[in-house]
Amino acid sequence: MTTSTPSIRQNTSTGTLALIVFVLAALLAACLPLLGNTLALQWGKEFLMLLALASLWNLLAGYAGLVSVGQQAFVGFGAYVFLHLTLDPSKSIGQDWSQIDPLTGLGKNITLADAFPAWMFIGPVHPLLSVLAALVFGALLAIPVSWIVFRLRGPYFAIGTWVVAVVIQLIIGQLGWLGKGTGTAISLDYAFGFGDMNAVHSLFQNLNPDSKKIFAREAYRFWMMLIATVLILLAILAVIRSRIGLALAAIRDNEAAASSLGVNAGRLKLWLFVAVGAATALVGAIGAFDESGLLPMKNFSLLEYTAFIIFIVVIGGIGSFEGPIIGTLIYFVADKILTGLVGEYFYIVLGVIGIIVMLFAPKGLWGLVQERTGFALFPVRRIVVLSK
Amino acid sequence: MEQLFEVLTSPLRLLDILIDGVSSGAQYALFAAGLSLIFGIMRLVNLAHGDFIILAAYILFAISWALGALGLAPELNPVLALVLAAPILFALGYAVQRGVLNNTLGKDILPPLLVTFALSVIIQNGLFLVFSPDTRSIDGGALSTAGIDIGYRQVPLLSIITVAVAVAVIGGLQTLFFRTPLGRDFRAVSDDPEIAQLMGINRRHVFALAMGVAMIVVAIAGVMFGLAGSFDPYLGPTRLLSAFEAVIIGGVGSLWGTLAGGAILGIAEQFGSRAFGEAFKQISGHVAFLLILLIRPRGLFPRAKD
Repeated sequence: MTTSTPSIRQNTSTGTLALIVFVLAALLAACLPLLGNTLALQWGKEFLMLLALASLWNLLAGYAGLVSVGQQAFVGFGAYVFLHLTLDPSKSIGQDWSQIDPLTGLGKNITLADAFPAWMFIGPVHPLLSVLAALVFGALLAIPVSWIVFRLRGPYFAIGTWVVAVVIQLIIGQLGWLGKGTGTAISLDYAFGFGDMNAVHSLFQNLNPDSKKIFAREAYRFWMMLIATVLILLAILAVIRSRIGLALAAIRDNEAAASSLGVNAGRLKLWLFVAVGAATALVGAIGAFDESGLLPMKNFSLLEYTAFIIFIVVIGGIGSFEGPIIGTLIYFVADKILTGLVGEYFYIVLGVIGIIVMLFAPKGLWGLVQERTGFALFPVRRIVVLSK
Repeated sequence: MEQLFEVLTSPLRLLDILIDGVSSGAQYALFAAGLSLIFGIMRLVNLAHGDFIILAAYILFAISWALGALGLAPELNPVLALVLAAPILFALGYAVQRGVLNNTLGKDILPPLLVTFALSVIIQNGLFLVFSPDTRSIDGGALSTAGIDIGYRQVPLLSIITVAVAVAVIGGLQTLFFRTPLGRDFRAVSDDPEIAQLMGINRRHVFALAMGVAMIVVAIAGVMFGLAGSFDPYLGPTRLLSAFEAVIIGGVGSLWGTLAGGAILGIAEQFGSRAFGEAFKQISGHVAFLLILLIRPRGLFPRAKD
């Protein structure tokens, strides 16, 4: 008599194939700058940013049940951390250093909003280091924010995150050296103050002698966004396939029962909130690396960085890894096709579709597919295999 | 810093802060009353609440403008407009609840949040398309400029009316809730929707009635807001946040608490704006809210159970 030991596996042949396609798509996307088309790069960056933000929000809302309406706080904060690190204090950034105490930042005729000490300015820092700093500061922001918003339950958590986002936007809008409410741009000179940007530029000039400096920076940013998005997506997949994902599913089904089995729901949610905040700030920082300038109104946009993202996730399918990918594809194509449509009509259509999907197919388009076919591109479920 | 010192040492400046803070606080309490009512009865947080207030203000603006065109006294127009708009908004609230929001209620908090968030986007952009992004205000005629002399300054009559209206509305809701058959139904579905249903109460109908009543409160908030200043299609979210903060400061579920919550917010804003400059008005209100949330997470007057 032979005893059969059941084993557990998660992956399927479709899953392996999907991962290979995913990696190939990323490698193919990495070649996009070779086309030499600036618009293609801008669209590519836009798509990747939406995809990364949607997947991150989905992890928070769809898996951990933390419905945040304030993720724009992290997008904007990351952008401003990046801006801060690009500043060169030896050039004028709107202050008179002789009036300011280097340690405390206080001085005669210095208002509270302009009180900033010299040691805070360590720039200009390399773009790669600056975006990594945004990741770290994003986490450092998420911790105190969690002290406040985690006191609020369920729906009130949503509005709490919104209030915090407004407060952060208002405070940054007061800081003189970050351009106040009127904005500051990141200069092209900053980007070319480092060797690697020049190397990228000469690479493109070898391909096309007319290639502009601004194109090299656009390509550089696109690559940063691509790497960040791929890493974020792979990390999310790893998390939801791991024990953490299992614990999150348990919490979603029954928090009390999960706790009794040793799942520390509060700590898990806190860690996810911090990790998502950090990654969101990173994406925001990379997104800000262009000539269009930073504005609190723009970089903390509720509509762009939260409302659209929510619609993308809901339409694609909340609570699944594939949902945000499908949602981003649909949203992006619709947005580009309907550019002729007045923005306000587009938003109304988006809102109506969002409501219809939420009422009649709460698991989104991907949920519909999965219900009918049981098909999963990136399988998360554990499958028990009885060996012979 | 000198500004802060001056404010702190002058009794009259402090009195100004109190008067103006309480009057804007009464407005916040009016915003909050509808939100609190809806949450209390059906555990629904309506993210479009602020946009409903702005929508009401636009409807009132349109009616009051039409009445003005008929040549009625402008002082009367806001009141008449409110009387005419109340049934419209009640019906709208009933329809939205019965047609859409009832289907989102359940154990999962996501559907109501996302649906009301989508409603908020739809209302904002709908108002933009219908009324253009220009700012509007409701003309109160002589009412808008009248004031009462208290010796060293004038207190706008409108401020006093707002405070009186806020107290009356909350008193009225309290009476409705605890002294009428409809209020009994409200409390029953709030305590246990399933059992209430078994006792013959049509839960879906009662929820829709509650939203209708909340929309009448929204109409009153809209008229006071529209009389006090100008508005545009995108002001809803800011109203929602003020309402939410007043609810949390007062204590979730406490209607009278929203008055205290609103007043605290208003006073904090007035203090910030006078002590640190106009740019700090909003921040001061939000910071006061966050501090209270940290110190007393359940608000000042929490209900015994939730």
